[in-house]
Amino acid sequence: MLNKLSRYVIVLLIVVVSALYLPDFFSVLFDKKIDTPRIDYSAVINEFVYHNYHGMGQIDYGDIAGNTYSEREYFQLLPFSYYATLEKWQQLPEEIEGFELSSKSIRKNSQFFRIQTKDINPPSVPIYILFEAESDYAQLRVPDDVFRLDNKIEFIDPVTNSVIEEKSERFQQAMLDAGFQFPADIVAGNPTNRKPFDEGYFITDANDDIFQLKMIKGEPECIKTGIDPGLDIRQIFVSENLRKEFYGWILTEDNKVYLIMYDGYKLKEVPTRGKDDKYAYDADEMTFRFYTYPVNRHIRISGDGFTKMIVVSNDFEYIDEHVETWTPYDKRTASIVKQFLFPFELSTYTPEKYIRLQMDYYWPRNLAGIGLSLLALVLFSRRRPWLDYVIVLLTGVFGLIGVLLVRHED
Amino acid sequence: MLKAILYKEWIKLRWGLLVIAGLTVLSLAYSIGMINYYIEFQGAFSNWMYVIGKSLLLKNIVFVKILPLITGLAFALLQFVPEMAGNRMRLSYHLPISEKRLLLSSVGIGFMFLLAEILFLFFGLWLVVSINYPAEVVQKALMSTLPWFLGGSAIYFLISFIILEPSWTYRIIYGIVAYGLTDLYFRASTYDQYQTLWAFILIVAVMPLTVMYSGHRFRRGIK
Amino acid sequence: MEHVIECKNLTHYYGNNLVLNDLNLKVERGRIFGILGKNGTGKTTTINILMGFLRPTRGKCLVFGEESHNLSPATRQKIGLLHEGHLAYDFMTIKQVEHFYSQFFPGWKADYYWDLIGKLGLSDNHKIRNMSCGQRSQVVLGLIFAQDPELLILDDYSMGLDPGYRALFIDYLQEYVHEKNKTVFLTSHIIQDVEKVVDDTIIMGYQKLLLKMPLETLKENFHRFEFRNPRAIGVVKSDDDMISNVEYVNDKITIYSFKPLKEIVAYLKKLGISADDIKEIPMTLEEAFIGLTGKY
Repeated sequence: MLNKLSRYVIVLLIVVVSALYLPDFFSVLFDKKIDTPRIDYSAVINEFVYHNYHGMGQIDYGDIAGNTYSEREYFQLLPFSYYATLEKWQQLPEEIEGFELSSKSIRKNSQFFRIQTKDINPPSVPIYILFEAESDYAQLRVPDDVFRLDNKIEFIDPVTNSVIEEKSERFQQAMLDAGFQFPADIVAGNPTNRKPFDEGYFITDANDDIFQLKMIKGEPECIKTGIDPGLDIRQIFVSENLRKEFYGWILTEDNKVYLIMYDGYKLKEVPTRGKDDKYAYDADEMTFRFYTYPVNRHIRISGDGFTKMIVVSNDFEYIDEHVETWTPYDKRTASIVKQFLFPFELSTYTPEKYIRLQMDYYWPRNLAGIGLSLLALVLFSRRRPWLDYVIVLLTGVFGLIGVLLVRHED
Repeated sequence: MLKAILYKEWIKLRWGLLVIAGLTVLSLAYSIGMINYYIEFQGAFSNWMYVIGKSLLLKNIVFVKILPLITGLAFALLQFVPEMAGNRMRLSYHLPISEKRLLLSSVGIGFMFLLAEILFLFFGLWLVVSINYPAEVVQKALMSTLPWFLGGSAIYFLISFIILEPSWTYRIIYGIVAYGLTDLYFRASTYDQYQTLWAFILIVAVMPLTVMYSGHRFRRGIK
Repeated sequence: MEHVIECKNLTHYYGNNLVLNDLNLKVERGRIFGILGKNGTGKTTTINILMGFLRPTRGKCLVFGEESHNLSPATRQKIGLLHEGHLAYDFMTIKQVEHFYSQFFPGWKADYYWDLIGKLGLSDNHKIRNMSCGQRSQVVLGLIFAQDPELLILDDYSMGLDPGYRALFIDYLQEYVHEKNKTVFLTSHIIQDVEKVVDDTIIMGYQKLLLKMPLETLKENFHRFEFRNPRAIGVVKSDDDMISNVEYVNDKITIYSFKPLKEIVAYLKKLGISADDIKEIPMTLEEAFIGLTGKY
């Protein structure tokens, strides 16, 4: 009895290993790279344009109306992307829609951010650093302490690895005075000194109210932003930019993106859907990109098999959108063959940067492989315990490998 | 009879236990040295930033990662190579105790010793890391070591099972499986990346059962 | 009479290789039973099955009424095994190994062990690994005696022992067994040793049992005849009934048979072969063994 169980444990371990490595190995051998066009929007012709890499450095340029371009022509269509090169060629237009073009003016009036799945809630240590926001120096100076923020705020001195009581109390008091209800939940900041200035942290409290915490001349400044606590916030991102249009952006659980404006912490919703819900943004599977250019803004949502691009005006008025699609991974030949062959796949790396044992079950395509495996077991193998058939029924070729390798010893 | 088996496993393992305990002390000393070197070299604040943001600590305690693996491997070899060499396992299988109890208690005892070494390492690391870093870092660092300890346990059970298997063909197949399974526990590059830890624990938890099949095959006279 | 060991229709294949063909044997309580046979005749296979380390392809082997590959711990307690090469836990010392084994056997007779060990003149902390083969055989025998089993199965006990230790081993064994009415099953390739102790023997040939009788009977009834006749070469062949074995050296023909001279001459005449100079050549037991099993 126990001997039988022992054999099945070994068979199952073989199933686990096969399911972890064989589909992966199959993909490495047979997956073909697919040409995925990169789309963009030309403010010169007000049309979506694209360029498409083929192997061997071959690149096609065109627009969705069907025109094709040379590289030079294409660059000229996108002055906000290729201004540096165009300037060198002395082909940078003087103005577009009233905006005077120069490298400097474009740089100053452009801003970009993206939200990747792995950035949303990565494994991290909940220890933060707070810069002096009104420093006497040209650049941000690295502080000499760090802080933790949960049931209270505590500054810690790395040299002694102990709490700095006085400073902690001052900040604690300032937060309480601002109406902060401990414990803190989301603590979002931008802990780098490679930024022009510091806006501190955006923090949600126990009531889901959002506060901004900064340090000015060594003193705490905690402000209740008044942002709607009913917003189901998934993550807040802070990014200081000299344009000083928004502090950062909020991603909600229902995949909406809001900018937190300098203008009284008002929220500005960034379109995440376009005209319809097809190819709408899903933070668990897609990358969201937001570009602010001097004359308009672009939103690019990219996922498996498509890129959706939405263009809005500086005031977020809808202008146009375009979806470029290609064969998603699941529908490619190698992937389909894989799903016929293997009943499921085990993997550990997640897009969120965690390691988790997860299973993709290839129903119903996997019926083919399971059927073949069962047939092979019936035809080419002597009589065996019924449980062997059940295992092959459930785990297809993985189970077949297992029960054939590990002989049944009665 | 369990006492007698404990006595035999103890005789085989005691020097190994001592050597591993020594290596544990050395590994912890190395960790202290590396941590202090980096703090000195980078400055305390900057070091904390590397430790928090770039998972520097995982590099400083690299031996804590390797040691459970070495221990698992060493204990399995020490316990079962002398038994299998020259067919000596026949002596054990003829003892008036059921094969199942014999095998399960042998790996059980070996695992207890392994666990003792792991706990020693774990608490040692706790002390070492607590001196210089805040509780948040300590917690993340200790959580990061759990998969390594599971990996060490996995290698112990799997190597035991492989050694007890009488046929070389099977040993090679099992070796591949063991490599694939053990790799599961060493995939992290930052702190505390493992989720669904229960699934990873479950895989290790069923491993001791595999030795029964090896014993069964030995008794059937498979070469 | 109760049978301690009973093998029925024992058949074993290694792959497609038949090594044991329908072997039947019974060992009565209180007897010393020996298996003789050249290498590859299934001697080791038989003892492996008996010890419970091989499951036969067909047939079964009962020891104390239980199938040998599936003995209960209680039955194993009654059986002392001496494995080929005098296997022992060589990582233990003299003292440790005694301490270890004593816990498994309620009737442990430590005196037997220490009596034997005392004669070695080694320290109690001497590791078995550092012993000579002969010294180790004493330890192993001591452990088996202390276990005080009802049945002893000894696989090739003489291997690697020099004559002194071999004699010592036999002396102890004989004394122990006859004093206490033990049953012994042993294999050996040294026939003189077996001759002294064994009550019943079987001699195994390739895929068949050659002989099953006390050695005395073999000595009395097995004959060797020699004659010269070149015409006989290739005509006189061994067959189970008349002639057990035939050897040719130039024109000299040697016949081994259980039949008396008269019957052999008559048999040869029937084949049309004259054997005028035929005469019986007396044999030692070892020569008889070789004659029976063949030189090759």
